[in-house]
Amino acid sequence: MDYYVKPLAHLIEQFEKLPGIGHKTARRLAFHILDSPDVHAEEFANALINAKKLVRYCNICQNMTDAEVCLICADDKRDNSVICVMESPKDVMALEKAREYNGLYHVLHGAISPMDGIGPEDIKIAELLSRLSSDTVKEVIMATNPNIEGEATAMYLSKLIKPLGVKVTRIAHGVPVGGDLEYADEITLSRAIEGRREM
Amino acid sequence: MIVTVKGLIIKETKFGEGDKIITILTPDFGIIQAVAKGARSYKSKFLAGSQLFCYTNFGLTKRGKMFSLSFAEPIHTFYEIRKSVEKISLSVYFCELLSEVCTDSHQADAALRLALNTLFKLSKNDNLAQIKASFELRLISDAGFTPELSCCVKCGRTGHFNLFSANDGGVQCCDCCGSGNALSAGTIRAISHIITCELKKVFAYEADENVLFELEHTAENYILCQIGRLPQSLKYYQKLKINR
Repeated sequence: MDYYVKPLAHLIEQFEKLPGIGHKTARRLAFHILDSPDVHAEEFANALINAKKLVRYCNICQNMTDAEVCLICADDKRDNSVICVMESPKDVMALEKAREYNGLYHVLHGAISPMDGIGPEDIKIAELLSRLSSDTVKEVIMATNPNIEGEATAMYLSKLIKPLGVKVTRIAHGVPVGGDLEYADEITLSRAIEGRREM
Repeated sequence: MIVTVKGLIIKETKFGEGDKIITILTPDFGIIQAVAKGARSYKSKFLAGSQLFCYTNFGLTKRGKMFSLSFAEPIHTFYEIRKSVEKISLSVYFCELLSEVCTDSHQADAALRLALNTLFKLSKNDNLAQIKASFELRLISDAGFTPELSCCVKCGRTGHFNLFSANDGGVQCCDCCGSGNALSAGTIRAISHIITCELKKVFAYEADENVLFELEHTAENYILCQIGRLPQSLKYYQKLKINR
């Protein structure tokens, strides 16, 4: 026996496809949509369609934007001699929240992963190298994740970029702010010692 | 009840929002799978000890067919491997071979020791061809598919023959020569050393460029003939080599 009418069942099904949404949550969201005014439901549907239609990659940094060039690349106040290489647009947002970095970005949209068969040609490496052909870039910061894929990508890129005469740096690894040293694992501590700096 | 076991992580699969399923090669249980809840979060206590290629002291609780991680203390992470894409892809290939070959828990102890020695060697040494060939030949030999080098694999005649057939599983005499490739005496000696020496001495031999070339191709052909398929990770490694 079908518990729901077809359009409702279809809506629940669609919500269930989203990450982190199980059947119960999908059902609650679907009922919330049905209970809300028509105009809210239309706004929600239009927001989905517009985001999918209008959001594209920036021609320069490959970050997400709704124009040819993203707001960060178009900002004259940014330091265009430094590029920070990130795996995904979500990482850019995280670093922007820190308000500590004033350079430009480059989003790879993935990382080299022998485990998943993702090679250097599957991510936005060629676009990064073409940005480095001009003399304006003096430093490239590798801010890929500190896991196997991220480390491999950073090392691969540094080997490609160093011969071009551009300084390549890696974000520091270490103990989190506010944490206790006794609870940190050995690898993190050894990376923290390796990456220490003069005070 | 928590079971404590040391093991090498040979595969990890993302699961749910922040969890992962890890495949572990252990000396006592062979290959097992365990769910590491929340292991992808920065705050997770499993974060360091549940990464691929990490040799870890695990605390496991049985949950149905799988285990669940209670604690994971990393013993050795083979961190240097991460600094080269080729080394990572080769390690992934080794792990794929281990999961293919170690179907029996009796072989697991020797396979684990070989894997740890190989990853250690890989993290310190750049002679990837020698490491790859030695691992392939020793792993498949320990699994019961030792290549025959002392007599003709077809007629059984004893002698020093240098025609090696991966399909037939050993050397052949001149009379029986079918699909065999001629190998130098140095290559035959190197194969013999790899499959018969003590485990800790698997990589302790000298090989010139020609021997290394023959050895790499012979070992690869031999193991592919035995497992009957071309692993995806080997394709990836070969592609990287060609691009280099």
